[in-house]
Amino acid sequence: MENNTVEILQQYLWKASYETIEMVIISLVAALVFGTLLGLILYLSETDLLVKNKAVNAIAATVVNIIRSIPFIILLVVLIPLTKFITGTTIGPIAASVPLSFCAIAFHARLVEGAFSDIDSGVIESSVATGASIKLIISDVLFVEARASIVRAITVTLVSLIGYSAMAGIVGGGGIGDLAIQFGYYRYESGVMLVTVVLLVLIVQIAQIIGDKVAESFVH
Amino acid sequence: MNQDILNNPIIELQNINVTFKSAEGNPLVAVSDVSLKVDRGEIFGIVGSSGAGKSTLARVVNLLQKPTDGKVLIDGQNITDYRGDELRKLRLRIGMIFQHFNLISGLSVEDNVAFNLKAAGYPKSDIHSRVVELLNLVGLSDKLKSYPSKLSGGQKQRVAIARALANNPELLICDEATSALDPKTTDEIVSLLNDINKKLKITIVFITHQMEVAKKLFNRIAVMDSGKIVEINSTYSLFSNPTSHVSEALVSTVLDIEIPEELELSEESHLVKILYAGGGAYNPIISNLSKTFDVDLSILSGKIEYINKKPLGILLVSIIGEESERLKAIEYLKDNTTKVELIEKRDNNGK
Repeated sequence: MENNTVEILQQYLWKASYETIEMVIISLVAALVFGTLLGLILYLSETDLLVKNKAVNAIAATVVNIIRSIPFIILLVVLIPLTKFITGTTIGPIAASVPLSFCAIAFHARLVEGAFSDIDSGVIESSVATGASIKLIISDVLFVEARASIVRAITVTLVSLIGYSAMAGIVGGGGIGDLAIQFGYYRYESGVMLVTVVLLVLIVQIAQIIGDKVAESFVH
Repeated sequence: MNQDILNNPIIELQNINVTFKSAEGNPLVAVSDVSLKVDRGEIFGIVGSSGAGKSTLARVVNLLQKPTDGKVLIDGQNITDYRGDELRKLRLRIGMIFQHFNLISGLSVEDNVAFNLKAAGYPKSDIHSRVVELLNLVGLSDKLKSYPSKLSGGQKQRVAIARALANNPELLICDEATSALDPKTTDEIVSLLNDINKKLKITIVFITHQMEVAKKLFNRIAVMDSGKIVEINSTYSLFSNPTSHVSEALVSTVLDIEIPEELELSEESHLVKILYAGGGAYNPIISNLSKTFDVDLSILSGKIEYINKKPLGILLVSIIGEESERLKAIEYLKDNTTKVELIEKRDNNGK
């Protein structure tokens, strides 16, 4: 490796990694909280024996579909005014976390909805027949039966977020992906490109392996 | 419990209709104008072939399926429009078990049973001891910590029964509860339900297409066909004297005998199928017959079923002798048994 490459990496890699972690963690937490909630609302409002509500379902589905249909790179730009309103700035990893969170919430909501939909409808029926409250069914049936699928969904969301965070460089978000573009692509630093790509592959692999292990432990 | 409740049938369905919207827009009638009463403490069966609307009808009782029309009365109370908390409280009084058990796969046996107790707001500190008590009742106390995937079908159904009985319901609805089990396990579950019915005085409504189960378990039976009830009768009467074609076809699945293919009969004989029910089943009809008339009898096939502890017999007999004596013998049989059916002799080509 050329000296130049090592210098660049020494100077920027830690900062870039930190920025990536920052963006991914913020948006992943947003997805876990709001995406899961939105996914639950989508599922509950479309399921006959639970709290079927066509209006609520249509509104939630529309919100999710709108966000999901806008390409991320455009969402980044479209949401600039909102980002400024929430974070007070439009550049840096914190600012980039706003569009990333939107994207992650909508993405994760659909995955969570799918995880709940995969639960055997007979199990839902028998739980409703017991006279259990919807709260108890959510905590002791839905989240129990769907937990392996939800862990897999979290892994998929996380991996997608790592990918999307690379585009955050467009709005000055920084991160490992941005490092690869700035040096590896624009300045022909192939060594930088190679190291960042290997690093991203490693992070994704580790996330996937951990996710699979956890999901597996929930299968009885 | 006040006297009023005790005098009312536990379930009364009045003119129940259930219609589904189908994809093509034609309404699909699943249940059509069904009225019936189930008495407290009985084991009431609803039988019929698949698609007859039995399961839909069973789900109307605890409003898992809302009827399109008609009224559902539980203990004389009209519950048809119950919703929310009112409906939840009603369901706590009605246990239900299913063909595919429907246990929560991610919870241990203990937690599965505990779920129903939690649903009723059972005191937390007492849950464990109540779960142990219920598992003892179904003979599974050693499986407390097992997960459903580690249990056999019969064991899963036992857990489902324990769970359904957790809150001391007055009524247990069983939807094809033995249809996914092998015959031996089916017998075990049937006798467990019989025990529970006697021990706990719980009323059981059991949906099935298995007449073997009907024969062993039910006090009364409603026969369903294309969404309608075609006959309601005591199990014994239904088996000994079915009044509709559907009932007859269902009964014949357990109570019929095959006429042997290779049977060759002489010109001098009559082939008759004799059904004898009630007290008559104990009379020595066959030996009387050969003593009274100048005929010989040979028994080709036969069986005796015991339904609600009463015998019900069916015999295939060939009567050999002079024609006049044979006809007199057949008259005698008609007078002294429940049903006599003359069977046409097949010609030698086997037609």
